[in-house]
Amino acid sequence: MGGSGRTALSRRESLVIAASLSTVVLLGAFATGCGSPGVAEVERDLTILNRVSLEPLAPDGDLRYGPSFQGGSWAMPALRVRGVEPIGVLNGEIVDGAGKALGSVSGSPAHLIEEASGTLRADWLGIPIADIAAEPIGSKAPARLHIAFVDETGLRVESQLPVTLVSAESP
Amino acid sequence: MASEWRGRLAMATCVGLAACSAEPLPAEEAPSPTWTSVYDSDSLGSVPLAAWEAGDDVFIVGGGLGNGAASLVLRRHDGAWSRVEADGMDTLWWVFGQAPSDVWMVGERGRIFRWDGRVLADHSYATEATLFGVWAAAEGDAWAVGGSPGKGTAAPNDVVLHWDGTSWKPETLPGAARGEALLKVWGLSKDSVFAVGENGAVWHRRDGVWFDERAAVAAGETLTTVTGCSANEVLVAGGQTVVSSHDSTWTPISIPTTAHVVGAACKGLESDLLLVGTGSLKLFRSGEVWRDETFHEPYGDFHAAWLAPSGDAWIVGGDYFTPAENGQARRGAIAHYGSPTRALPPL
Repeated sequence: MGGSGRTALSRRESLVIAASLSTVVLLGAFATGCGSPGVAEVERDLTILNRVSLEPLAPDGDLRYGPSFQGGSWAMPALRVRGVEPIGVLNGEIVDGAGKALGSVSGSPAHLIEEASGTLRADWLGIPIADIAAEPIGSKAPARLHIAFVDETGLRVESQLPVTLVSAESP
Repeated sequence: MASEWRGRLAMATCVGLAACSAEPLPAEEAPSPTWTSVYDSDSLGSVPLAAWEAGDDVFIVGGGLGNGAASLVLRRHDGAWSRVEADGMDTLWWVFGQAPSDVWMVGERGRIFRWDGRVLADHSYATEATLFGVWAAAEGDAWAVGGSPGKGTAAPNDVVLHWDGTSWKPETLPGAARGEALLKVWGLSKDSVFAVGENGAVWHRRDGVWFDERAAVAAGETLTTVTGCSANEVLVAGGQTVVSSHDSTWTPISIPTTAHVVGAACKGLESDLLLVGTGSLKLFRSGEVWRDETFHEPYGDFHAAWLAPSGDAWIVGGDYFTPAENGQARRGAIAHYGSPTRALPPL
Protein backbone atom coordinates (compact mmCIF):
# COMPACT_ATOMS: atom_id res chain seq x y z
CA MET A 1 0.00 0.00 0.00
CA GLY A 2 1.59 3.26 -1.09
CA GLY A 3 0.95 6.87 -0.22
CA SER A 4 -1.63 7.22 -2.93
CA GLY A 5 -4.39 5.17 -4.38
CA ARG A 6 -6.64 5.25 -7.36
CA THR A 7 -10.33 4.61 -7.11
CA ALA A 8 -12.53 2.27 -9.07
CA LEU A 9 -14.88 4.42 -11.16
CA SER A 10 -18.63 4.47 -10.75
CA ARG A 11 -20.82 4.69 -13.84
CA ARG A 12 -21.55 8.37 -13.06
CA GLU A 13 -17.88 9.15 -12.62
CA SER A 14 -17.05 7.35 -15.84
CA LEU A 15 -19.57 9.49 -17.67
CA VAL A 16 -18.10 12.67 -16.23
CA ILE A 17 -14.62 11.59 -17.24
CA ALA A 18 -15.84 10.60 -20.68
CA ALA A 19 -17.28 14.11 -21.06
CA SER A 20 -13.99 15.62 -19.93
CA LEU A 21 -12.04 13.47 -22.36
CA SER A 22 -14.37 14.53 -25.16
CA THR A 23 -13.52 18.13 -24.39
CA VAL A 24 -9.82 17.31 -24.44
CA VAL A 25 -10.25 15.59 -27.81
CA LEU A 26 -12.08 18.60 -29.26
CA LEU A 27 -9.51 21.07 -27.94
CA GLY A 28 -6.74 18.85 -29.23
CA ALA A 29 -8.34 18.77 -32.65
CA PHE A 30 -8.45 22.56 -32.81
CA ALA A 31 -4.89 22.87 -31.52
CA THR A 32 -3.41 20.47 -34.02
CA GLY A 33 -5.49 21.38 -37.04
CA CYS A 34 -7.44 18.14 -36.78
CA GLY A 35 -4.32 16.03 -37.00
CA SER A 36 -3.68 13.34 -34.43
CA PRO A 37 -5.28 14.83 -31.31
CA GLY A 38 -3.56 12.59 -28.79
CA VAL A 39 -5.98 12.00 -25.95
CA ALA A 40 -4.54 12.93 -22.58
CA GLU A 41 -5.30 10.51 -19.82
CA VAL A 42 -6.96 12.04 -16.78
CA GLU A 43 -4.94 11.12 -13.71
CA ARG A 44 -6.96 11.13 -10.54
CA ASP A 45 -5.45 10.28 -7.20
CA LEU A 46 -4.99 11.40 -3.62
CA THR A 47 -1.68 11.33 -1.79
CA ILE A 48 -1.49 11.63 1.98
CA LEU A 49 1.26 14.00 3.09
CA ASN A 50 3.22 14.86 6.17
CA ARG A 51 1.74 18.22 7.23
CA VAL A 52 5.09 19.88 7.92
CA SER A 53 7.25 18.62 5.05
CA LEU A 54 4.38 18.22 2.57
CA GLU A 55 6.15 15.04 1.43
CA PRO A 56 4.19 11.83 0.94
CA LEU A 57 3.66 10.01 4.20
CA ALA A 58 5.47 6.67 3.98
CA PRO A 59 3.68 3.45 4.92
CA ASP A 60 3.92 3.05 8.69
CA GLY A 61 5.23 6.62 8.88
CA ASP A 62 4.68 8.71 12.01
CA LEU A 63 1.37 10.56 12.32
CA ARG A 64 1.38 12.86 15.35
CA TYR A 65 -1.69 13.51 17.43
CA GLY A 66 -2.12 15.90 20.32
CA PRO A 67 -4.09 18.85 21.67
CA SER A 68 -4.73 21.84 19.45
CA PHE A 69 -4.77 25.40 20.78
CA GLN A 70 -8.35 25.09 21.99
CA GLY A 71 -8.13 21.52 23.21
CA GLY A 72 -9.25 18.21 21.89
CA SER A 73 -6.80 15.70 20.50
CA TRP A 74 -6.21 15.86 16.76
CA ALA A 75 -4.23 14.25 13.98
CA MET A 76 -3.55 16.58 11.06
CA PRO A 77 -2.34 14.97 7.86
CA ALA A 78 -2.11 17.03 4.68
CA LEU A 79 -3.04 15.77 1.23
CA ARG A 80 -2.48 16.37 -2.45
CA VAL A 81 -4.95 15.40 -5.18
CA ARG A 82 -5.04 15.38 -8.96
CA GLY A 83 -7.81 15.24 -11.49
CA VAL A 84 -10.66 16.73 -9.47
CA GLU A 85 -12.18 20.15 -8.85
CA PRO A 86 -10.86 22.21 -5.91
CA ILE A 87 -14.14 22.50 -4.03
CA GLY A 88 -15.64 19.54 -2.25
CA VAL A 89 -15.80 17.67 1.00
CA LEU A 90 -13.22 15.63 2.88
CA ASN A 91 -13.73 12.52 4.93
CA GLY A 92 -11.08 11.00 7.14
CA GLU A 93 -10.89 8.06 9.50
CA ILE A 94 -8.25 6.50 11.70
CA VAL A 95 -8.69 2.95 12.99
CA ASP A 96 -6.43 0.98 15.29
CA GLY A 97 -4.78 -2.33 14.53
CA ALA A 98 -7.95 -4.19 15.46
CA GLY A 99 -10.09 -2.08 13.17
CA LYS A 100 -11.65 -0.01 15.95
CA ALA A 101 -12.34 3.62 14.98
CA LEU A 102 -10.13 6.03 16.91
CA GLY A 103 -11.46 9.14 15.26
CA SER A 104 -13.12 10.40 12.14
CA VAL A 105 -14.31 13.48 10.31
CA SER A 106 -17.08 13.35 7.76
CA GLY A 107 -18.19 15.85 5.15
CA SER A 108 -15.70 18.54 6.09
CA PRO A 109 -16.03 21.33 3.50
CA ALA A 110 -12.80 21.98 1.67
CA HIS A 111 -11.47 24.47 -0.84
CA LEU A 112 -8.18 23.01 -1.98
CA ILE A 113 -5.17 25.17 -2.80
CA GLU A 114 -4.06 25.09 -6.43
CA GLU A 115 -0.34 24.43 -6.63
CA ALA A 116 1.92 25.72 -9.39
CA SER A 117 2.16 22.23 -10.84
CA GLY A 118 -1.60 22.12 -11.28
CA THR A 119 -2.18 19.73 -8.43
CA LEU A 120 -4.43 20.59 -5.50
CA ARG A 121 -3.49 20.54 -1.84
CA ALA A 122 -5.10 20.66 1.57
CA ASP A 123 -2.56 21.82 4.13
CA TRP A 124 -4.26 19.86 6.85
CA LEU A 125 -7.29 17.78 7.61
CA GLY A 126 -8.16 17.78 11.30
CA ILE A 127 -9.25 14.36 12.48
CA PRO A 128 -10.35 14.39 16.11
CA ILE A 129 -8.91 11.48 18.05
CA ALA A 130 -11.68 10.71 20.46
CA ASP A 131 -11.47 7.05 21.36
CA ILE A 132 -7.92 6.56 22.51
CA ALA A 133 -6.71 6.44 26.07
CA ALA A 134 -4.34 9.17 27.19
CA GLU A 135 -0.84 7.94 26.37
CA PRO A 136 2.54 9.31 27.46
CA ILE A 137 4.12 11.74 25.02
CA GLY A 138 6.12 9.82 22.44
CA SER A 139 4.21 6.56 22.72
CA LYS A 140 3.44 4.88 19.42
CA ALA A 141 0.67 2.64 18.14
CA PRO A 142 -0.08 1.08 14.74
CA ALA A 143 -3.16 2.40 12.94
CA ARG A 144 -4.64 2.83 9.50
CA LEU A 145 -5.54 6.20 7.97
CA HIS A 146 -8.17 6.59 5.27
CA ILE A 147 -8.90 9.89 3.51
CA ALA A 148 -11.39 10.57 0.73
CA PHE A 149 -12.20 13.76 -1.18
CA VAL A 150 -15.37 14.19 -3.22
CA ASP A 151 -15.45 17.23 -5.47
CA GLU A 152 -18.47 19.31 -6.40
CA THR A 153 -19.10 17.21 -9.52
CA GLY A 154 -19.12 14.02 -7.51
CA LEU A 155 -15.67 12.81 -8.52
CA ARG A 156 -14.03 10.91 -5.70
CA VAL A 157 -10.42 10.20 -4.87
CA GLU A 158 -9.19 8.37 -1.82
CA SER A 159 -6.21 6.75 -0.23
CA GLN A 160 -5.48 4.64 2.78
CA LEU A 161 -2.24 3.99 4.51
CA PRO A 162 -0.86 2.13 7.53
CA VAL A 163 0.58 4.71 9.92
CA THR A 164 2.22 4.89 13.30
CA LEU A 165 0.23 7.11 15.63
CA VAL A 166 2.54 9.11 17.87
CA SER A 167 1.26 10.86 20.99
CA ALA A 168 2.69 14.39 20.97
CA GLU A 169 2.32 17.74 22.70
CA SER A 170 0.73 19.11 19.54
CA PRO A 171 -0.60 17.54 16.35
CA MET B 1 -22.19 9.25 2.07
CA ALA B 2 -25.25 11.22 3.19
CA SER B 3 -23.02 13.99 4.42
CA GLU B 4 -21.22 14.09 1.09
CA TRP B 5 -24.53 14.61 -0.69
CA ARG B 6 -25.47 17.38 1.70
CA GLY B 7 -22.21 19.04 0.78
CA ARG B 8 -22.95 18.68 -2.90
CA LEU B 9 -26.43 20.07 -2.35
CA ALA B 10 -24.97 23.08 -0.63
CA MET B 11 -22.63 23.61 -3.55
CA ALA B 12 -25.48 23.28 -6.00
CA THR B 13 -27.35 25.93 -4.04
CA CYS B 14 -24.32 28.18 -4.26
CA VAL B 15 -24.18 27.79 -7.99
CA GLY B 16 -27.86 28.68 -8.19
CA LEU B 17 -27.48 31.76 -6.04
CA ALA B 18 -24.47 32.92 -8.00
CA ALA B 19 -26.46 32.65 -11.19
CA CYS B 20 -29.29 34.71 -9.71
CA SER B 21 -27.01 37.43 -8.40
CA ALA B 22 -25.67 38.03 -11.90
CA GLU B 23 -29.07 39.28 -13.05
CA PRO B 24 -29.55 43.06 -12.99
CA LEU B 25 -31.52 44.33 -10.02
CA PRO B 26 -34.57 46.53 -10.41
CA ALA B 27 -33.57 50.16 -9.99
CA GLU B 28 -35.50 50.63 -6.75
CA GLU B 29 -33.87 47.66 -5.00
CA ALA B 30 -30.83 48.14 -2.81
CA PRO B 31 -27.82 46.01 -3.66
CA SER B 32 -27.79 42.68 -1.88
CA PRO B 33 -25.32 42.31 0.95
CA THR B 34 -22.15 40.62 -0.19
CA TRP B 35 -18.96 39.16 1.21
CA THR B 36 -15.83 41.25 0.91
CA SER B 37 -12.46 39.70 1.59
CA VAL B 38 -10.81 42.47 3.58
CA TYR B 39 -7.60 40.53 4.20
CA ASP B 40 -6.45 37.10 3.03
CA SER B 41 -2.70 36.86 3.29
CA ASP B 42 0.26 36.07 5.53
CA SER B 43 1.61 39.62 5.31
CA LEU B 44 0.66 40.38 8.92
CA GLY B 45 2.29 37.13 10.03
CA SER B 46 -0.64 36.69 12.38
CA VAL B 47 -4.04 35.14 12.53
CA PRO B 48 -6.96 37.46 13.31
CA LEU B 49 -8.98 35.61 15.94
CA ALA B 50 -11.75 37.91 17.11
CA ALA B 51 -13.63 41.01 15.99
CA TRP B 52 -15.84 43.54 17.74
CA GLU B 53 -17.67 46.49 16.27
CA ALA B 54 -19.47 49.49 17.67
CA GLY B 55 -20.51 52.39 15.52
CA ASP B 56 -17.60 53.61 13.45
CA ASP B 57 -15.09 51.49 15.31
CA VAL B 58 -14.01 47.94 14.55
CA PHE B 59 -11.36 46.10 16.56
CA ILE B 60 -9.72 42.89 15.41
CA VAL B 61 -7.18 41.01 17.52
CA GLY B 62 -4.98 37.97 17.04
CA GLY B 63 -1.38 36.92 16.86
CA GLY B 64 1.21 34.48 15.60
CA LEU B 65 0.27 31.57 17.88
CA GLY B 66 3.87 30.84 18.76
CA ASN B 67 5.37 31.78 15.41
CA GLY B 68 7.12 34.87 16.69
CA ALA B 69 4.77 37.56 15.41
CA ALA B 70 3.83 40.51 17.59
CA SER B 71 0.43 40.73 19.24
CA LEU B 72 -2.11 41.86 16.67
CA VAL B 73 -4.51 44.73 17.31
CA LEU B 74 -6.20 46.28 14.29
CA ARG B 75 -8.58 49.21 14.54
CA ARG B 76 -10.86 50.65 11.92
CA HIS B 77 -12.03 54.12 12.81
CA ASP B 78 -14.16 56.20 10.45
CA GLY B 79 -13.34 53.76 7.67
CA ALA B 80 -9.54 53.89 8.05
CA TRP B 81 -7.54 50.91 9.30
CA SER B 82 -4.53 51.24 11.58
CA ARG B 83 -2.44 48.90 13.64
CA VAL B 84 -2.43 49.63 17.36
CA GLU B 85 0.91 48.87 19.00
CA ALA B 86 0.60 46.20 21.66
CA ASP B 87 3.70 45.18 23.57
CA GLY B 88 4.83 41.59 23.28
CA MET B 89 4.30 38.55 21.11
CA ASP B 90 1.40 37.01 22.96
CA THR B 91 -1.52 36.10 20.77
CA LEU B 92 -4.72 37.88 21.69
CA TRP B 93 -7.70 35.55 21.49
CA TRP B 94 -10.66 37.83 22.15
CA VAL B 95 -11.90 41.38 22.14
CA PHE B 96 -15.04 42.87 23.64
CA GLY B 97 -16.04 46.40 24.41
CA GLN B 98 -18.65 48.35 26.28
CA ALA B 99 -18.01 51.32 24.04
CA PRO B 100 -15.38 52.38 21.51
CA SER B 101 -13.53 54.01 24.40
CA ASP B 102 -13.67 50.97 26.67
CA VAL B 103 -12.48 47.79 24.93
CA TRP B 104 -10.91 44.72 26.56
CA MET B 105 -8.52 42.33 24.80
CA VAL B 106 -7.16 39.10 26.30
CA GLY B 107 -4.73 36.39 25.27
CA GLU B 108 -1.78 34.17 26.00
CA ARG B 109 0.02 34.17 29.37
CA GLY B 110 -2.66 36.18 31.06
CA ARG B 111 -2.25 39.11 28.71
CA ILE B 112 -4.99 41.73 29.15
CA PHE B 113 -5.16 45.10 27.40
CA ARG B 114 -7.74 47.85 27.73
CA TRP B 115 -8.31 50.49 25.07
CA ASP B 116 -9.55 53.80 26.44
CA GLY B 117 -10.10 55.50 23.10
CA ARG B 118 -6.51 56.73 22.82
CA VAL B 119 -4.06 54.12 24.13
CA LEU B 120 -3.78 50.50 25.19
CA ALA B 121 -3.21 50.03 28.89
CA ASP B 122 -1.67 46.79 30.15
CA HIS B 123 -3.78 45.06 32.80
CA SER B 124 -2.17 41.62 32.44
CA TYR B 125 -2.79 39.01 35.09
CA ALA B 126 0.03 36.82 36.40
CA THR B 127 -0.72 33.39 34.97
CA GLU B 128 0.70 31.04 32.37
CA ALA B 129 -2.84 30.27 31.26
CA THR B 130 -4.19 31.61 28.01
CA LEU B 131 -7.19 33.88 28.43
CA PHE B 132 -9.50 32.91 25.58
CA GLY B 133 -12.53 35.05 26.35
CA VAL B 134 -13.59 38.36 27.85
CA TRP B 135 -16.94 40.05 28.34
CA ALA B 136 -17.88 43.22 30.19
CA ALA B 137 -21.13 44.20 31.83
CA ALA B 138 -20.00 47.68 32.71
CA GLU B 139 -16.91 49.84 33.09
CA GLY B 140 -16.18 48.32 36.48
CA ASP B 141 -17.53 44.83 35.89
CA ALA B 142 -15.84 42.46 33.42
CA TRP B 143 -15.05 38.75 33.18
CA ALA B 144 -12.20 36.86 31.57
CA VAL B 145 -11.80 33.08 31.28
CA GLY B 146 -9.06 30.74 30.15
CA GLY B 147 -6.84 27.81 30.84
CA SER B 148 -4.33 25.40 29.35
CA PRO B 149 -6.18 23.11 26.91
CA GLY B 150 -5.33 19.43 27.08
CA LYS B 151 -3.24 19.73 30.24
CA GLY B 152 -5.80 18.91 32.92
CA THR B 153 -4.96 19.78 36.49
CA ALA B 154 -1.22 19.77 35.75
CA ALA B 155 -1.45 23.35 34.47
CA PRO B 156 -3.58 26.41 35.19
CA ASN B 157 -7.13 25.61 34.22
CA ASP B 158 -10.72 26.47 35.18
CA VAL B 159 -9.51 30.08 35.10
CA VAL B 160 -12.14 32.73 35.84
CA LEU B 161 -11.13 36.33 36.49
CA HIS B 162 -13.31 39.27 37.48
CA TRP B 163 -12.58 42.97 36.97
CA ASP B 164 -14.11 44.94 39.80
CA GLY B 165 -13.09 48.35 38.57
CA THR B 166 -9.67 48.36 40.19
CA SER B 167 -8.05 44.97 39.54
CA TRP B 168 -8.55 41.49 38.11
CA LYS B 169 -9.27 38.91 40.81
CA PRO B 170 -9.61 35.14 40.45
CA GLU B 171 -12.89 33.38 41.18
CA THR B 172 -12.92 29.75 42.21
CA LEU B 173 -15.56 27.56 40.63
CA PRO B 174 -17.44 25.28 43.03
CA GLY B 175 -16.36 21.69 43.63
CA ALA B 176 -13.09 19.97 42.84
CA ALA B 177 -10.89 21.42 40.13
CA ARG B 178 -11.94 20.07 36.73
CA GLY B 179 -8.70 20.81 34.93
CA GLU B 180 -10.59 22.24 31.98
CA ALA B 181 -9.78 25.29 29.91
CA LEU B 182 -12.63 27.75 29.65
CA LEU B 183 -12.78 29.23 26.17
CA LYS B 184 -15.43 31.93 26.13
CA VAL B 185 -17.57 34.01 28.47
CA TRP B 186 -20.74 36.03 27.84
CA GLY B 187 -23.32 37.66 30.03
CA LEU B 188 -26.96 38.39 29.49
CA SER B 189 -26.64 40.84 32.38
CA LYS B 190 -24.27 41.44 35.27
CA ASP B 191 -26.22 38.82 37.22
CA SER B 192 -26.29 36.15 34.49
CA VAL B 193 -22.88 35.21 33.11
CA PHE B 194 -22.00 32.05 31.16
CA ALA B 195 -18.61 30.41 30.60
CA VAL B 196 -17.98 27.42 28.33
CA GLY B 197 -15.01 25.27 27.47
CA GLU B 198 -13.33 21.92 27.22
CA ASN B 199 -15.32 18.68 27.42
CA GLY B 200 -18.61 20.53 27.17
CA ALA B 201 -18.07 22.64 30.28
CA VAL B 202 -20.91 25.11 30.88
CA TRP B 203 -20.93 27.35 33.95
CA HIS B 204 -23.69 29.84 34.69
CA ARG B 205 -23.26 32.53 37.32
CA ARG B 206 -26.64 33.55 38.65
CA ASP B 207 -26.90 36.23 41.28
CA GLY B 208 -23.34 35.72 42.42
CA VAL B 209 -23.23 31.91 42.46
CA TRP B 210 -21.71 29.66 39.78
CA PHE B 211 -23.83 26.67 38.70
CA ASP B 212 -22.65 23.73 36.63
CA GLU B 213 -25.03 23.36 33.64
CA ARG B 214 -22.93 20.87 31.67
CA ALA B 215 -25.46 18.07 32.08
CA ALA B 216 -28.35 20.22 30.87
CA VAL B 217 -26.46 21.19 27.71
CA ALA B 218 -25.03 17.67 27.21
CA ALA B 219 -22.60 18.78 24.53
CA GLY B 220 -20.21 15.87 24.88
CA GLU B 221 -17.51 17.88 23.10
CA THR B 222 -15.57 21.08 23.61
CA LEU B 223 -17.65 24.23 23.40
CA THR B 224 -15.64 26.99 21.79
CA THR B 225 -18.10 29.83 21.99
CA VAL B 226 -20.99 31.40 23.85
CA THR B 227 -22.87 34.45 22.67
CA GLY B 228 -25.94 36.35 23.70
CA CYS B 229 -28.85 36.65 21.34
CA SER B 230 -31.27 38.78 23.35
CA ALA B 231 -31.95 39.76 26.92
CA ASN B 232 -32.95 36.21 27.82
CA GLU B 233 -31.34 34.06 25.12
CA VAL B 234 -27.83 32.69 25.00
CA LEU B 235 -26.29 30.25 22.57
CA VAL B 236 -23.33 27.90 23.06
CA ALA B 237 -21.56 26.07 20.24
CA GLY B 238 -18.60 23.94 19.31
CA GLY B 239 -17.98 21.13 16.85
CA GLN B 240 -21.35 19.77 15.83
CA THR B 241 -23.06 21.13 18.92
CA VAL B 242 -25.26 24.22 18.96
CA VAL B 243 -27.54 24.67 21.97
CA SER B 244 -29.61 27.67 22.95
CA SER B 245 -30.96 28.69 26.32
CA HIS B 246 -34.18 30.63 26.41
CA ASP B 247 -35.24 31.65 29.88
CA SER B 248 -32.87 29.02 31.32
CA THR B 249 -34.19 26.10 29.27
CA TRP B 250 -31.52 24.52 27.06
CA THR B 251 -32.62 23.35 23.61
CA PRO B 252 -30.36 21.74 20.99
CA ILE B 253 -30.40 23.25 17.52
CA SER B 254 -30.04 20.91 14.55
CA ILE B 255 -27.59 22.40 12.07
CA PRO B 256 -27.50 21.60 8.33
CA THR B 257 -23.75 21.18 8.11
CA THR B 258 -21.13 18.58 8.86
CA ALA B 259 -18.47 21.24 9.28
CA HIS B 260 -16.83 21.98 12.62
CA VAL B 261 -18.49 25.00 14.23
CA VAL B 262 -16.06 27.24 16.12
CA GLY B 263 -17.65 30.69 16.35
CA ALA B 264 -21.17 32.10 16.53
CA ALA B 265 -22.86 35.45 16.57
CA CYS B 266 -26.51 36.34 16.74
CA LYS B 267 -28.93 39.19 17.21
CA GLY B 268 -31.86 37.08 18.32
CA LEU B 269 -32.58 33.45 17.73
CA GLU B 270 -35.71 34.35 15.85
CA SER B 271 -33.82 36.67 13.55
CA ASP B 272 -30.17 36.38 12.55
CA LEU B 273 -27.66 33.75 13.57
CA LEU B 274 -24.25 33.26 11.97
CA LEU B 275 -22.12 30.18 12.58
CA VAL B 276 -18.53 29.99 11.34
CA GLY B 277 -15.86 27.34 11.54
CA THR B 278 -13.43 25.18 9.67
CA GLY B 279 -13.66 24.50 5.96
CA SER B 280 -14.98 28.02 5.21
CA LEU B 281 -18.15 27.42 7.23
CA LYS B 282 -20.47 30.42 6.96
CA LEU B 283 -23.97 29.43 7.92
CA PHE B 284 -26.74 32.00 8.41
CA ARG B 285 -30.11 31.37 10.00
CA SER B 286 -33.01 33.77 9.71
CA GLY B 287 -36.11 32.59 11.50
CA GLU B 288 -36.25 28.90 10.66
CA VAL B 289 -34.48 29.27 7.32
CA TRP B 290 -30.82 28.32 6.99
CA ARG B 291 -28.58 29.76 4.30
CA ASP B 292 -25.26 27.99 3.81
CA GLU B 293 -22.56 30.13 2.21
CA THR B 294 -19.73 27.75 2.99
CA PHE B 295 -18.88 27.24 -0.67
CA HIS B 296 -18.91 30.97 -1.45
CA GLU B 297 -15.76 33.03 -1.21
CA PRO B 298 -14.11 33.94 1.08
CA TYR B 299 -12.53 30.63 2.00
CA GLY B 300 -10.62 29.73 5.12
CA ASP B 301 -10.92 28.32 8.60
CA PHE B 302 -12.89 30.91 10.49
CA HIS B 303 -12.66 31.30 14.23
CA ALA B 304 -15.07 34.04 15.20
CA ALA B 305 -17.93 36.18 13.96
CA TRP B 306 -19.39 39.49 15.00
CA LEU B 307 -22.86 40.45 13.90
CA ALA B 308 -23.69 44.15 14.02
CA PRO B 309 -27.21 45.44 14.69
CA SER B 310 -27.39 46.45 11.02
CA GLY B 311 -26.95 42.82 9.99
CA ASP B 312 -23.43 43.41 8.73
CA ALA B 313 -20.98 40.78 9.88
CA TRP B 314 -17.26 40.40 10.42
CA ILE B 315 -15.63 36.99 10.34
CA VAL B 316 -11.99 36.29 11.09
CA GLY B 317 -9.65 33.33 11.11
CA GLY B 318 -6.96 31.63 9.09
CA ASP B 319 -4.33 29.17 10.18
CA TYR B 320 -5.24 28.93 13.85
CA PHE B 321 -5.42 25.15 14.18
CA THR B 322 -1.94 23.94 13.36
CA PRO B 323 0.96 24.14 15.80
CA ALA B 324 3.77 26.68 15.51
CA GLU B 325 6.40 26.02 12.86
CA ASN B 326 9.68 27.85 13.40
CA GLY B 327 8.70 31.43 12.72
CA GLN B 328 6.68 30.67 9.60
CA ALA B 329 4.16 33.45 9.02
CA ARG B 330 0.60 32.38 9.51
CA ARG B 331 -2.05 33.08 6.95
CA GLY B 332 -4.97 35.12 8.19
CA ALA B 333 -8.38 36.06 6.87
CA ILE B 334 -10.77 38.91 7.58
CA ALA B 335 -14.07 39.15 5.73
CA HIS B 336 -17.04 41.48 5.93
CA TYR B 337 -20.64 40.77 5.01
CA GLY B 338 -22.78 43.71 4.01
CA SER B 339 -22.10 46.62 1.73
CA PRO B 340 -18.76 46.40 -0.10
CA THR B 341 -15.83 47.38 2.10
CA ARG B 342 -12.29 48.45 1.33
CA ALA B 343 -9.52 45.90 1.69
CA LEU B 344 -7.03 46.19 4.50
CA PRO B 345 -4.13 48.41 3.36
CA PRO B 346 -0.54 47.34 4.01
CA LEU B 347 0.08 47.90 7.72
